[in-house]
Amino acid sequence: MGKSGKIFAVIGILFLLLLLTGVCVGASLLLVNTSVSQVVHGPIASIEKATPMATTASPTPANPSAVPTVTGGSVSDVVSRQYVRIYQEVNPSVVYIDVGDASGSGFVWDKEGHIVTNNHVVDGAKKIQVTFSDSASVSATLVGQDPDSDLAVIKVDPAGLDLRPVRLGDSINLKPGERAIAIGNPFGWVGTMTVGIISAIGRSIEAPSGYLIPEAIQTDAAINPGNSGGPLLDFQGRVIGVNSQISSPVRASSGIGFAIPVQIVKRVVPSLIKTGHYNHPFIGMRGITLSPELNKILGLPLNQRGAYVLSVLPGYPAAKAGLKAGTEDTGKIIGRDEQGQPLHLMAGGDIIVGIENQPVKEFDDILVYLFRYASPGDTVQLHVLRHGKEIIIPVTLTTRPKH
Amino acid sequence: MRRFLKFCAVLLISSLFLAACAGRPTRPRPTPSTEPAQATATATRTISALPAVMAQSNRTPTPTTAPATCNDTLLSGCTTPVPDETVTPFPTLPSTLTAPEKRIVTIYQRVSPAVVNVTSHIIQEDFFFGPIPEEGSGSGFLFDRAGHIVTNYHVVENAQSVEVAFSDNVVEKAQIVGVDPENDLAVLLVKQVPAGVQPITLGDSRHLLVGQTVLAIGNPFGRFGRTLTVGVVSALNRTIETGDRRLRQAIQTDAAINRGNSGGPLLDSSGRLVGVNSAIFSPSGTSAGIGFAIPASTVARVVPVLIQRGYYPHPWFGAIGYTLTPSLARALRLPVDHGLLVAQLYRGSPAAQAGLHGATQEVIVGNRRLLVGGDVILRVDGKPVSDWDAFDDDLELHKRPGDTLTLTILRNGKQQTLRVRLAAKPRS
Repeated sequence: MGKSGKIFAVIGILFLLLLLTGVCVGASLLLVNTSVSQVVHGPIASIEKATPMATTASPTPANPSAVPTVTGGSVSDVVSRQYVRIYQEVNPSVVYIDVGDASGSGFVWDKEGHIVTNNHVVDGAKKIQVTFSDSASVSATLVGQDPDSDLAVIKVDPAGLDLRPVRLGDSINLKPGERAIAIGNPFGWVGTMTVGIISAIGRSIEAPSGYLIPEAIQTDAAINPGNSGGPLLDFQGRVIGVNSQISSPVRASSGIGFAIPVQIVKRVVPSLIKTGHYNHPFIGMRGITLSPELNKILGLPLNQRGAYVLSVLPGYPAAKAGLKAGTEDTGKIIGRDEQGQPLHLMAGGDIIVGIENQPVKEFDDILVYLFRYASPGDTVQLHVLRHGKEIIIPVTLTTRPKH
Repeated sequence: MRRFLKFCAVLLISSLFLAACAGRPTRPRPTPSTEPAQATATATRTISALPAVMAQSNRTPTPTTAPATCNDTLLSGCTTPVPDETVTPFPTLPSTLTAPEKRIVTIYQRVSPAVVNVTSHIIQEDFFFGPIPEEGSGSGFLFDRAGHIVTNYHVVENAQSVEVAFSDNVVEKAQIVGVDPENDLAVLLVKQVPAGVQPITLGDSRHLLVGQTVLAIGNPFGRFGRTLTVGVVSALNRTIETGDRRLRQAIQTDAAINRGNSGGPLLDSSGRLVGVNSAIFSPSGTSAGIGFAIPASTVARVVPVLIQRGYYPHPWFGAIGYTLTPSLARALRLPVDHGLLVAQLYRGSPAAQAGLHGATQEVIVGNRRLLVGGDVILRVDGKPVSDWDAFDDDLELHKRPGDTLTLTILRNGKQQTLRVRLAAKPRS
């Protein structure tokens, strides 16, 4: 910057000060906000990729005792009354989790003091402080973590605490349009309830570990940094998910939040409590959902549905069981592998159309089955279409290798 | 372009610095054992009073409707609230609407005519003191039949002139009748209220519950007049600090609140006013589902005074100091574990006149310089006090200038009582 530039900047600052004393204070504050968030958080993740939502600053629990003790009041409609009831029942189960440089939410799992949260909230924490809605604040220890489902269990000493475990609901039979309620600590505003609906079900979201989490619940209830690890509830106040990610060009709600479905929580958490970890079953193949476009390239009937086998990992279950990837190069590149090498679309591979009598219409169906029902060591029957003929291939699952 | 960006960065940094300084400069605070103070600062900086926006308002006519049943301006006096379950839906409502939908539609039809777009005209001066006319937009609502309109102070702050637009598309000049910057409230007056427009009914914010439905009506971005957004009460009793303003007992809602919503009403599911939408918390500057409203109880306390006197006399004590924690008390060898340690007194303040003693010496505790040796306030009117902010809030919410406080203080190891007659806070 030249000398004149410097002078310009100085004049600019003076002018700014002048402005700031006027009505622009509000607007400037707004600018400050933007800059703070951008400086603190760095560039915003792309819209396509959801961002985990632990807050990076650690605001004080703004008012941990804000739970109203008033009952009755002027609540007049049925829906309001139910929301009020849900808040009064569930807010005491929701905790504020402070790990020093970040904060999030969690909920009481059992009377022994186990608390469920997101792994990304407590991963790498040196010290975990848990604050309840009645302001009781205690330290917690990490009991178990599963990066692949982004879930973790921490434990507090139950002595002297009024522990109220949440009630668990069912995430398998949810329908878009049903009401969804989030309770958590967005930006450190503890005990915040936000409501909306289930916007979509069956989303696959990427855990920070890189593996996909199937059947995530999408909601338009406002989810913000700090909501991570808090419960998503149904209209009966039962937990249907764990609020974990948002999709937004800014680090704030844009009405697109994602929760890990409770059926995954039900499988993973007991294992985390018992052994400290959860062994995800592993099949060792890469696949893609067939579409008319792909079918055309692969020379398949246009209406063919299923999961097309792109590659099998040598030495892992799919390869051992004899599952075949394609061998004839179509000249199309459809992605990159872990080493960043281009993946060529090869024709002639197996098409998985079922797993254990469950139809496989898309690749996620395999993921869903494995998450819901399978464990390492299990043998699952794959229904495979090979050169137009359906065959059954038994595959014995192993555990996932570390990414 | 790059230079412009650099310049923007400088602007941002200096405004950040200012925002940080604008905090609450005078009160020295003791070192807390943990980091919350700093964390709070972070949190506070991200809260924005909704600034007025620069845009023309887009006014859509809305049919005027039936009167509300209770127009009493005092909460306690409102003994005949709108009977909730019997809100009569308009006969024209389609039968396909569900009951909760009918309720919301009815409220909107009844209340929205009382919601106004507020446009303030500000003459800024450029670097060479040339005039730059600017326009800001916010919201407001009709408070009484006399034509008083309530809005946020920050909507009309520094305005040379203010215009108000009811839904009938008629823009009227409004006079600023009174302002209370501390509570971020202002009262305007229009000469004529359009026929059939009823003032908003004041509700009771003290009995709100988290989870109950609330409706916001306002003028987001200054362009979408009388926009209805619906949500729930997300939390209660928030203390929101923006700049030198401290909004007490604020209502948090997930109803979408944006710039331009400032000053608009937050209603309960009977259509009664429970709050005035005033601030949001968002890193992006647009609704993230975290909005804050000044409670109706503050409106009921402050607005009638503004109408009558043009300003709100805040009770003034006139001392600042440290909140004693057990560890701080131990470090200072004080035989108490709570209380308010007085550090400095404002000259001529009620506290000074009553003979309260400030600090006598400066010591260093840990890495903090503290002014010590002053009186410790243990009880106020017999009730133990343990926090300056709570003490301030209690004065603001429950006392008036002229009220007398009986303080139990600790001086030189002995307890004694002192009576302080509160004055009105000097207006800046």
